[in-house]
Amino acid sequence: MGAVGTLLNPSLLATTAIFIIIWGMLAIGLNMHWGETGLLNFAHAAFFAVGAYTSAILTTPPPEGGAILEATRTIGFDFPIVVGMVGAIVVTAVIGVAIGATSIRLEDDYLAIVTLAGAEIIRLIIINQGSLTAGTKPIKNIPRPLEGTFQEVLGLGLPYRVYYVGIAGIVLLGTLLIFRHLSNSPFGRVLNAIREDEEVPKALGRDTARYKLKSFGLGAGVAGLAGALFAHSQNAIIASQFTASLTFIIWAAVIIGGSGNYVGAVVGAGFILGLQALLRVVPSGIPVIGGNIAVLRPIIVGILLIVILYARPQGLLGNKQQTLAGMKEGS
Amino acid sequence: MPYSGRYNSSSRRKFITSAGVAGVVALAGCTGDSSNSSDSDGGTTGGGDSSMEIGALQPFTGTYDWIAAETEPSMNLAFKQIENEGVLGMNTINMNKQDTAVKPQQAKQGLITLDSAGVPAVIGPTSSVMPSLIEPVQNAELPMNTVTAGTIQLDSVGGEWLWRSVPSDAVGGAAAGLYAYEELGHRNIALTYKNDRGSSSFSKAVGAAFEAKGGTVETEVPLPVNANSYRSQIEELINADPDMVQMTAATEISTLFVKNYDQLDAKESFNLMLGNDVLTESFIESIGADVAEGFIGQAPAPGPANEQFVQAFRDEYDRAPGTFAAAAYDASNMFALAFQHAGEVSRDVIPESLPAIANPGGTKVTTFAEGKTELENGNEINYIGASNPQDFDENGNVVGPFSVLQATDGEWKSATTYQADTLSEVY
Repeated sequence: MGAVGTLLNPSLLATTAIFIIIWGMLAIGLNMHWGETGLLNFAHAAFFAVGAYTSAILTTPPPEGGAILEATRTIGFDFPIVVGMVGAIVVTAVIGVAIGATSIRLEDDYLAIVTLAGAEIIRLIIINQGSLTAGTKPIKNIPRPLEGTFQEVLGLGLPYRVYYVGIAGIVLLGTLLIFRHLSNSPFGRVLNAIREDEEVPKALGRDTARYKLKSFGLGAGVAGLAGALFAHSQNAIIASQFTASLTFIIWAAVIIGGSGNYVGAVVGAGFILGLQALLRVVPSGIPVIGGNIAVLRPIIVGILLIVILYARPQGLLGNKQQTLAGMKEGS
Repeated sequence: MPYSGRYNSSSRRKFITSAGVAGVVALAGCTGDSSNSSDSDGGTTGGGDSSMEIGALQPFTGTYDWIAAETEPSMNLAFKQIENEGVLGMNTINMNKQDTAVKPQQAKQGLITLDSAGVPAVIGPTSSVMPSLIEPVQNAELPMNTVTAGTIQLDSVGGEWLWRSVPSDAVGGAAAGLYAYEELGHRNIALTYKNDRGSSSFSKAVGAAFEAKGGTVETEVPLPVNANSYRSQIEELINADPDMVQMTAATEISTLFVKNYDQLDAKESFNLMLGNDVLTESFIESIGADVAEGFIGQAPAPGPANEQFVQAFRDEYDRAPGTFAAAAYDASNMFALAFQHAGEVSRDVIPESLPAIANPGGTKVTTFAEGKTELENGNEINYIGASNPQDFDENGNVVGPFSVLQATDGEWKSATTYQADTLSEVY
């Protein structure tokens, strides 16, 4: 099977699509924070983890028995998946607001530091509260929505993940529509004003801290929903899946897609993941890099993205006028 | 006039550029994108193709990239030897490399890429990601033999599509626990480990074996990653007053831990028993031979064909093979022999043919060439490995002897070797 055949395999295509959707959701959340409101958030991977763990804990019973050497999780609920997803949004949004409330009235740098600290606290809680999260062990047997039903009803013989693309895609589309609507509403315009110069909406009598907290909660809630989607697309989740590097990848997705543009955020996520998937199957018969392609490939991705940033500083779908607003000619 | 404390549009643009560059650097440095080094022309189902493709799902980047640096040359050595003989008329073996980057999600994506590429078998990765691959491997019905994952989470899940050419941590733990209880006469120990799945798995296996003999585990102290000091953890261990402390952690953490251990004169309170990651002479050099003197460790006893493999490796690369290299060599040979045994290169033949060529009951062979000759003569074979005898139990675990080592005069020297049947009584 050639590289193209591998790339077009339904299973691989579906897996890539699921991740583009989930990362796209994360990028939407971060775009609400940064692109719309100008809030520096470095805890997005932690919000993602909170959503994934919340939904996993709510929808799986505590494991019975287990090997003597396994970490023992004692808390679990076996609720329906929809409860898990709603719970993931609510819990993550509340945690987001709680983190934001400590510093959102201060300068942006303080919020950035607080989110970094918050992310570390969340990571440590996940690793150390084994009775709730299984610690460094995985939470297994996370249910998948309508698993088996699709195959029975449609009978197309396709892997489940192909159908999951549809489920996740609908959630993404709904989220995208809601956030675009918010962006064009008076609420969104206040957020944009805060982003450009907070003193202006303040002078007009707006409680900007309240708006920023709402923005922070909304963005965190979407990250939580993305986490729930992720958890239910997998059979198991584990703490090491939620590393801080994910936050920076989502930042890259938002900026490459076009800061302030929700569709751009999703496109940015798709661009990065699509590029990675493509490079997985590119033949190695290239001079010089040949046998070292596994190590060089991340560097190739990085260089390509840097080139894009310099060619289009506003991102693929970004608004150049908005991005460059305020810059003096020639500066 | 813009408020000077705010981000104005100019600084916003600068931030966008800076954050974007930071993001792509993170991408380059952290995501560890996977790769496929083969031309992937198919050749995975045998028959008319003159080549086949074997998957190598290994940590080519990330914390454990040194493992792939050991396993890849070893696989290439085996492939070269196999190509010289040919497998069912195929004289070219391509390695489809997919990087796990020591991250479960990357590993899963690598596995799905290998599945989509149609490879007939995969040389599998480390304990850090293996548990996340159990279900995907079984769903894909894609045979995988991991050459590095000792985690006890694989103890009872393999045998159908999943095997491992390295012993379970439970076996190594049994050797360590047995030695501490029987040979050293200890009755209470403490466990300390890097707070991750692989490290805790090994330490807890030692503790379970020790308790099975009648000893007591006084306390368990997880070691946080990226800490600047482990003094408080060492003091906690001293306060528990154990006869010995078993510690499992990667080299960086172990080095810092031992440095703090030495600074606190903790050697007067307890001796250390170490995990597999640091049983190297370079580790002893880094901490000092005097500090390391008397430390205990354990490692699989070299397989019957180890010397032969080491010589072949030296001839090819002009250096000694490192950790896990022999297991990778064995796994590569066994897949090829299984295809030869079945007369077909496909995933479906592995579950029956892999145990058939590996387990006792036929003519003993140590290379692909010997095995192919015997199979062509109609004889059953028993592949004897370079890393260990490569006899699989019903769950796909290899069973074999394990050695206990002790740091003596700057070297790791064998203190004793436990046979597989002795160890199986403990774990």
